[in-house]
Amino acid sequence: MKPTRWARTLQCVAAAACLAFLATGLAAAETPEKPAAGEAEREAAARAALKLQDVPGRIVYETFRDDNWELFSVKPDGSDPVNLTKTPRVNELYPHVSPDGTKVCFVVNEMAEGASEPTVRNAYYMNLDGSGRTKVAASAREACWSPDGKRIAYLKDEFDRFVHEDFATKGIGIYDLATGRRTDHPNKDLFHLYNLCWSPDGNWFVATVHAGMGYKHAILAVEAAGTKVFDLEIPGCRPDISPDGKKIAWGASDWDLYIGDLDLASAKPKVTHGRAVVRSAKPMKIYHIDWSPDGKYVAFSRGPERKSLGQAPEIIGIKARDWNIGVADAQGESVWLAITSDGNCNKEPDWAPVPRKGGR
Amino acid sequence: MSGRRAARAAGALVALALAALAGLSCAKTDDAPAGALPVVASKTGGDMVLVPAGGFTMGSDRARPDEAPAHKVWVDAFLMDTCEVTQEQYAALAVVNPSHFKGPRMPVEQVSWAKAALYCNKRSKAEGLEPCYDEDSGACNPEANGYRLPTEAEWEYACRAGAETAYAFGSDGRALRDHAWFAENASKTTHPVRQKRPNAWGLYDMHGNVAEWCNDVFRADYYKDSPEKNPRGPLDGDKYVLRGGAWNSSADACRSSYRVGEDPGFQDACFSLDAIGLRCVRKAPPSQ
Repeated sequence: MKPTRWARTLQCVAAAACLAFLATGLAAAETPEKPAAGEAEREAAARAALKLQDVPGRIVYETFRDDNWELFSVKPDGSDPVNLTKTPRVNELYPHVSPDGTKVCFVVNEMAEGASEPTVRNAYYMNLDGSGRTKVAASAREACWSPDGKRIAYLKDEFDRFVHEDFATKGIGIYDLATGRRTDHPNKDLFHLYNLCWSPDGNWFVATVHAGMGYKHAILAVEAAGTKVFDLEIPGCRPDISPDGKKIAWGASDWDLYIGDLDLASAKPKVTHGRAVVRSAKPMKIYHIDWSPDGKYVAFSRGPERKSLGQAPEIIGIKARDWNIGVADAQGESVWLAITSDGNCNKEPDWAPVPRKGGR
Repeated sequence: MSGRRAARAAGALVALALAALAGLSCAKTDDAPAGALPVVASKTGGDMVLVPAGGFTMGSDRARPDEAPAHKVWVDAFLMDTCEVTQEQYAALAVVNPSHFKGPRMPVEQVSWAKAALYCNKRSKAEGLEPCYDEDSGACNPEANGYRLPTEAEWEYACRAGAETAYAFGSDGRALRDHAWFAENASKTTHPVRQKRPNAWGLYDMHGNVAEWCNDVFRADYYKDSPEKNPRGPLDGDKYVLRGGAWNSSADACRSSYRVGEDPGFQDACFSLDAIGLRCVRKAPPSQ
């Protein structure tokens, strides 16, 4: 049947309406690009403000390359990457550089022949050039240096069998580099601590506790040579003390890194004036904050969360595709740059001071 | 007794129980059975109640808007843990105990939805059953014979145990003290399971102690268009369903139809909600 003039008019109107609808739809589809333009502006502003090419020292981090975890170091602007470990059959993780910048302690997920999962996690240290690898302790996690660089503290495994959960710990061990002797922390009730950090005055540890010592989840100050424990009453996890001991940085949530004033000298240690230093929007998680030696910057890792039943990507030794290292101005808010872009599970940055002797 | 012989004995028990249930359900299929139901031992932990297929009125028109409209629902038969999963049972498979309040017979808490689903899979594998959850996506295959979290409908059907009142035991909230650990009597902690009176079907702590994850995504207006037969929740959403109330809940929040949505904590390493636990279900074995 031949369409009438009226019907043809209706068809034209309908076609025009469809085109208008499609155009609106296309415009709407383009809107996600707008934040990208804003992101480019933010990056340019941050690049100008941070001037990372002029910042001394290096940043060490764990990274997954060719089916193996290695420790890499880069300059603070992300240039000059160096593989510190070069061990294609050994999985090194969680690096912490010594206060004099010459050594690094770390953990290794030891694999039995043919195993797909680690069987044990042990702690080691070595010179930054890869020489002098020395075992600190077996079944040990999350090692960190004493402020004088003469001892390494580590968390002792809760179980004989390996588990990924970072809070599966029971007690703190101390390793003396000069004698090779290991001693236990005097507080025998330390349980489910993770992410240990030794204060610059040597008197305290700060750490997160999860489901242990009567806490459901908290950030604690633990006497280094005594048995006192205080809840710092800040939300979140993974605290790191500034080199002058006056500030603390931590992850207040999966999306916010915070900085506050730290008072470990009062009868009850406390944190005041907490504020966000970097905020991230879902799905990009933000973790592992670490101070620069001069206290002006913080390094961190950032990457996407995924809807999966598996372990969280921020956990040590868990592959975290598209995670990268970032650096932020510790005095600003969300003035930051990503300094790696390969997304090779780059996590747990530790800012290394310029070595006083040797090493890189 | 060898494992195989034990499995045969358990199978025979299930068959007998199903036969008994068939008799019950033949009388009137959309009526819930009255009285205690058959109990079957699971290989990895506590007992499970064999809940028969049946119909019930889900939700309430006299409570909060997200509980309305009250509507008829049919669920197929399933096995449900008699008690909330304890810390002892959880640690036997997941190794690490994430609970704030420690005690081997106390319910495990601080478990995200993702960890709860993962526990279900571990339990399935430990018993040689087909896991229900895809561990990469979190998607659930309800046809698998392994363990999973109950659908919201299964949970409420089991909680009510045939009752149409606010609680499984009636509508008088003052009697809740005999059936549940909640804010008025729990002293700000969880308690070992199985200490309060069970409901008519022999399920303990359905009201209180810890709120229990359900398999369903939460949507406040889901009842307006949910299917009548075996509803499985909305396809997608940011929150998952919690049911039953907990040690820190009001009496009102422990009602059978009370529902709440919570962030499932996918890949949340520090999930620290100490009023949330789980109870597993699995498909009732075929009667033949």
